[in-house]
Order: sequence, then structure tokens, then C-alpha cells
Amino acid sequence: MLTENQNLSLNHKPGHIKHDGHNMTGFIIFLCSESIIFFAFFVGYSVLKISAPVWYPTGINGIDIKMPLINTVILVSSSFVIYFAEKYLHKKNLWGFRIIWFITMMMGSYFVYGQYVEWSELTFSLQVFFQVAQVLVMV
Amino acid sequence: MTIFNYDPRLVKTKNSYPKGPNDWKRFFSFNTDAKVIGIQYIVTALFFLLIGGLLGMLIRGELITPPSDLFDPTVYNGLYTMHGTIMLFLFLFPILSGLTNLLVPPMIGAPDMAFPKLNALAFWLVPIFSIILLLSFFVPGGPASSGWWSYPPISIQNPLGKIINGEMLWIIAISLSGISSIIGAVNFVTTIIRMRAPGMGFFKMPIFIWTVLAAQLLQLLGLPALTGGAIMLFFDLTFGTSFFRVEGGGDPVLFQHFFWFYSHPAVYVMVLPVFGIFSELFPVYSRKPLFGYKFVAVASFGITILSLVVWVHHMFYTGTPMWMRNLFMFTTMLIAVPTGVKVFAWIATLWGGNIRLSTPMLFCLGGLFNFIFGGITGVMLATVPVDIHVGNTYFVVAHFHYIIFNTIAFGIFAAIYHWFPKFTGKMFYEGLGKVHFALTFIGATLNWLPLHWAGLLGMPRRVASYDPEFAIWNVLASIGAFILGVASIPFILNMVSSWVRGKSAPPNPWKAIGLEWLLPSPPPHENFEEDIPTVLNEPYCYGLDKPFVEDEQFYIEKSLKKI
Ligand code: HEM
Ligand SMILES: [Cu+2]
Repeated sequence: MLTENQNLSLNHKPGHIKHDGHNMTGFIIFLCSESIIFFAFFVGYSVLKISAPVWYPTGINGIDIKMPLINTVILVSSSFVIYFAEKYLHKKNLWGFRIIWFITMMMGSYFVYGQYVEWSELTFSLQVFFQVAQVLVMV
Repeated sequence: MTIFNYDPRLVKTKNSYPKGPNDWKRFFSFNTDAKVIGIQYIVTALFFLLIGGLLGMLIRGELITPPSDLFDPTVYNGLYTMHGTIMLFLFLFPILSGLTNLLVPPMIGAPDMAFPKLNALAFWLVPIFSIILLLSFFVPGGPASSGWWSYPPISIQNPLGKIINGEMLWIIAISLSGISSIIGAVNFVTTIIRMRAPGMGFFKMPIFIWTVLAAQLLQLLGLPALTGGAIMLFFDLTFGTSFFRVEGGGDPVLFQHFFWFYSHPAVYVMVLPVFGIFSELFPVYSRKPLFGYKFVAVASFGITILSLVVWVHHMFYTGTPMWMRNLFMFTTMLIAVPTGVKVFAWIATLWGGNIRLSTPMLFCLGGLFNFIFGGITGVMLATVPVDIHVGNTYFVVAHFHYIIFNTIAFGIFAAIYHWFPKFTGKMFYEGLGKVHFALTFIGATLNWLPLHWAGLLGMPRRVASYDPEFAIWNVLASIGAFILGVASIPFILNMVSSWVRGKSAPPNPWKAIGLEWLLPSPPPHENFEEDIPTVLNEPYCYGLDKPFVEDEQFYIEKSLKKI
């Protein structure tokens, strides 16, 4: 049995660590599970691509590789950049954190812009916009 | 990750947020107590059992005569689709989550689940997606009607061309159900890994905990595949993409792979906890230790691993190449090995035991008997030449109802009766319980045993009219279905009246060994509070002179003080 006092002091340090421990365990389990959803998408993509006699819609011979490549590099490297931002935060170096955080944000914005350009340059698309309009009309 | 540096007293810090009211109103609030959430799940699920059962009886009403005279065939398609979906996603999964919520924390000596708020969120998603699913009865074109497996191209036809249609609501409901299950699974696995009482190593956990862990891991590994498939199906249906649309270069069989990659494991997600329930109850009611505890425990993981690699046995007759058929026939047969280990262990536990035929034990014995039967028809179906003949006939329907109702639901009823005194603090009426068992067993046997013959004679499933030569089997089945409907009356009567005015239950009415039985009935809000017991021996030491926990007498006296 613990007295009130011991209880409080116990609650302080190790209690906090324990709490984080649960969160970390839960988060890792969740990540493993979520990665399977992407696995499903990739499997679907490969199966469809391998079994397709022609992959592109008629009149299309290929799509631009360069722009998506740049975009990917920027997106992936931004996760390393934000890692350094976090390091500065832990060292309580606020300005270092702000600057690197800002760089990360710029990289993110560039990625979004790049996506916009990529998609708007495609010469084929779904009838999504037509359908969305239909939903709006219904509502 | 080890249990030994875990001090459950520390968990108290986390329980600082409000609990909600302490009377009956707490069952209608966003309560974060696993015991309240468990009962919320169970009661909600039983309500949907009634609705699903009603749809089932409508189906059997149609099938009592050969022509389709009661319903239009399109309506009939909607009926069996909704029947299957409701029974699986609104009854079985929620009720098993409910039992898991009630049992896991007390059984491992934890005060609550690892993430109480997420737990409440997972529960409250159930009524939300249930309402979405039921609303689909009222949209133009009616509910989804392509079967519970929702195969394209039928599922993406959308004949009325409306954006909001039954199939779309079905996909949304199923995806929300998936989110709820994943939240639940993360919670259960974390709780079991990190919050066990001191001394409770993996090989001292009750089998129910082992099976929950195995089942929830399966949920984590398999469910995202279905969610991925459902998202693509949603896009095909609503945005006109062609993942599964042949006209646009898609592949409908791909969906079948996504679907069964999850939905075969899903049946084991449901049956594994029931194996756990069998393993808990047989020792109690035959006063013997569980035979081969370690083998039974590890066999659960054998089932988890194998059941991830057998899904194609549902696709033997949908244009699957021969090498794939043979491969998956082999893996499917392999799964009979760990399953057989368990069946053998249960029978050996019963052998020479001092058997007490109370209501929970009757349900367990009935469930075991039916499981052996359903397992045998399962192995028959796994044999490719047999399946080519009886695939998509009533033989399959009979097989999986023998498993899903006659085994899983029997085990669930056994668990409800067995732990009813613990969590409500009231004893149920044994006589009504036995009536419930007798009606359920007779009804279920009459309902699904004859359908094996109809299937072997070639009666196709999912058709509203049939050849008069199958009439006799269908009449028998329909009578069985109506008896099952009647069986719900003694059950509801028993549960409601004994909860309201039954005799108070002692802490351990069945003289069972287990942490939950060292608690008062009903257990206090945080189970063992500060005095978490230290586990000394493996569970199920009935008749052996091995203490289960340190200082057992202290806990027994503490639990008795409540009455
Ligand atoms: C003992 C081992 C088992 C084997 C070898 C087995 C085998 C099979 C096979 C081969 C099929 C496909 C039949 C067909 O579609 O033509 C099947 C269907 C089915 N099984 Fe089993 N099964 C077993 C246990 C179970 C268990 C434990 C469950 C449930 C918990 C279950 C639930 C189902 C369901 C729901 C279907 C039909 C799904 C549908 O077509 O709508 N089976 N089983
Ligand atoms: Cu299967």
C-alpha cells in the first residue's frame, strides 16, 4: 500500500515515462498496420500494370518523369530536414528550430505547387469534376 | 517491453479525465471505462442480432416455398446482403469487442485499457456506421444487393446512376467499421503487451488473452487490405475509375483477392476468441487443468500465421489458375493441424472430468460439437475437386453457418452466461438458460443441417426461387429458423429480469481460477486498484495444489467484503 505522498512522487517521473511508452507502443503497432493499406495499393498497381496490354489511354505515349522526380526528392528529403528542426527544439535553440522549420514548410509548399502543375498538365483525366458538380447540384 | 518493470499503480495518472455519470445514464455517455464500453458493445450488438435475425427469418420465409412469391428477387438480393453484413459487422465483431473489453483488463490485472478515450471512440463509431448502413434501406434503389462480399462488376453497376446509393453507403459503413476495429486492435494489443500484472509472463496468461492477442494481430495485418480494396471500389463506383472495371482495363478478380485476404482471416478473428472461451470454460466446468496449456496457447499463433495464406480457397471456382488452387488447398489443409491440437486438448480436458452441465457448459459443449462438424465440411470444401462441385451452393452456406452461428454464437452465449454474474453482480435463472440452450440447439441444427443435403444436390445459394426437388430441406430449415427466433425470448427475458431483480452474485460463483474471479462482482471501477496481485502459476490449476497468486486469501477476503 502506498501513502498519498509516495503515490504522488511515483506519479511524477516514471509515471510519465510509462505513459509515453504506451503511446509509442500503440503508435508503432498502428504504423505497421497502416503500411498494409499502402501495400494493398502497390499490389493493385503492379497487378494492373503487369496484366494491362496497353497502359496509357489512347493518344498518350508516356508521362513526364522529371517533375515528379524532383517533387519526390523534395518531399522525402523534407522529412530529414524536419528531423533537424526537432533536434534544435530539444536543444532549446529556438531560432535554429524556426529557420529549419520554415525551410521544411517551404519544401512542403513547393511540393503542393508541383502537384498542382503536374495534374493540370495532364491531357487525360477522370470524369471526377463532372461527378463532383453533380453532387453539388444534388445537395 | 518486459512486464517486470511495470508498476500498475502508475497507471492511475492517466485516469484523470472525467468518467461520466455513475448510474444507468453512463451507458449512454462517452464513458471511458472499459467495463461500461464492454456492456455498451454487447447490448448494441444483441440489438443488431435481433434485426439481422429478423432479416434471416424473412429470407427463410421466402424460401419455404419454391417460387419467389414473398419478395421480388431484387428485394431478396438486398435482404441477404444486409443480413450477412449486419450479422458480421454489426453483431459478431461488436459483441466480441465487447467481451474483450470486459474481460481483458480484469483478466490481466490492469485497471483499464491502454487508451480509454480511443476505446470509447471505437465504440461510438458502431452506432454511427450502423445507422448509415440501415439508412441504405431508404435510399432510391434500396440497400446494397451484391452479397456481403460485394464483388464487382455487380457492386459497381449502380443501375439508377445516383451518387448516393445503397452500395455507396455500404462501402462507407464497412470502412468506418474497419476504422473502429483498427482502433480497437491497437488498444487491445498494447494493453496485453504492456499492462499485465506482475509475474504474468506470456506463458501464464489465460488462453482467452492469447487468443485475443492472436485475433487482434490478425485484424491489424489483414483489415487494411480490405480497406484498400474498399477505397478502390468506392472510386470505381462513384468517380468512374477502372480498378475493377473490365471495360477500362481493370481486373474484378483483384477485388476478390483484397476481399478474401482480409475476410478469410476475419473468420478467424471471430473464432479465435471463441476458442479462448472454450479453453476458459471447459476446465472450470470439468474441474480439471486445461490439457496441454502451452500447445493450446501457441496453436493460436499457428492459426494466425496460416490463416493469412489460405484466402484463395474462396476463389477456387472463379478462374484461379491450377497451381494456385493446389497451393492454397495445401495451406488450407495445414490449418487443420493447429485447430486439431486445440480440439484434442479440449476433449482431453473433458475426459474423465467432473462435468457440470450448467447453461454456459451446455453452450460450450454444443459449440464444440458443431465446430467439429463444421471443420469437417470445411476440409471437404478445401478439396478443390469437391469445391468445384459444391462451391456457391447451399453446402457452403451450411458450412459457414455451422461455424459462425453454431460455434461462434454458441461460444458467445456461453461467455455471456459465464461472466454475467461477474459484470452485472446478479445471478441469471438457470432454468431459462437451459430452455434457451435447448431451443437454440434444436433450431440451429434444424436450420443448417438439412441445407448440407440441399447443397450436395446442387441447390445454388443467393436465389429466391428453386427447383421443387429441394423443397423438403428448405421447409425443415425454415422451421429451424423460426425456432431460433423463438429462442431469443427466454434469453432476453433471462438477461433483463435477472439484471433487474436477480439474486446478488458472489465474487466467484463457479469456483473458477482467474484474476477476474478475485474481484468483487461487479468489479470496482479500477479493478484491483492499488493492490495488483502477483501471479505465481499458470492458470487452470484445478485440483492441483498450486496457488494462482501471491496472498490469494487477502484478495478473496477483499472481494467478499463487498457483499
Ligand atoms: C476448420 C477449418 C476450415 C476449413 C478447412 C474451411 C474451408 C472453407 C472453404 C474451402 C470455403 C470456401 C467454400 C466455397 O466458397 O466454395 C469456406 C467458406 C467459408 N468458411 Fe470455412 N473453413 C474452415 C473453418 C471456418 C471457420 C473457423 C470459419 C468462421 C469462423 C469459416 C467461415 C467460412 C465462411 C464465412 C465461408 C463462406 C464465405 C462465403 O462464401 O460467403 N470457416 N471454408
Ligand atoms: Cu476461408
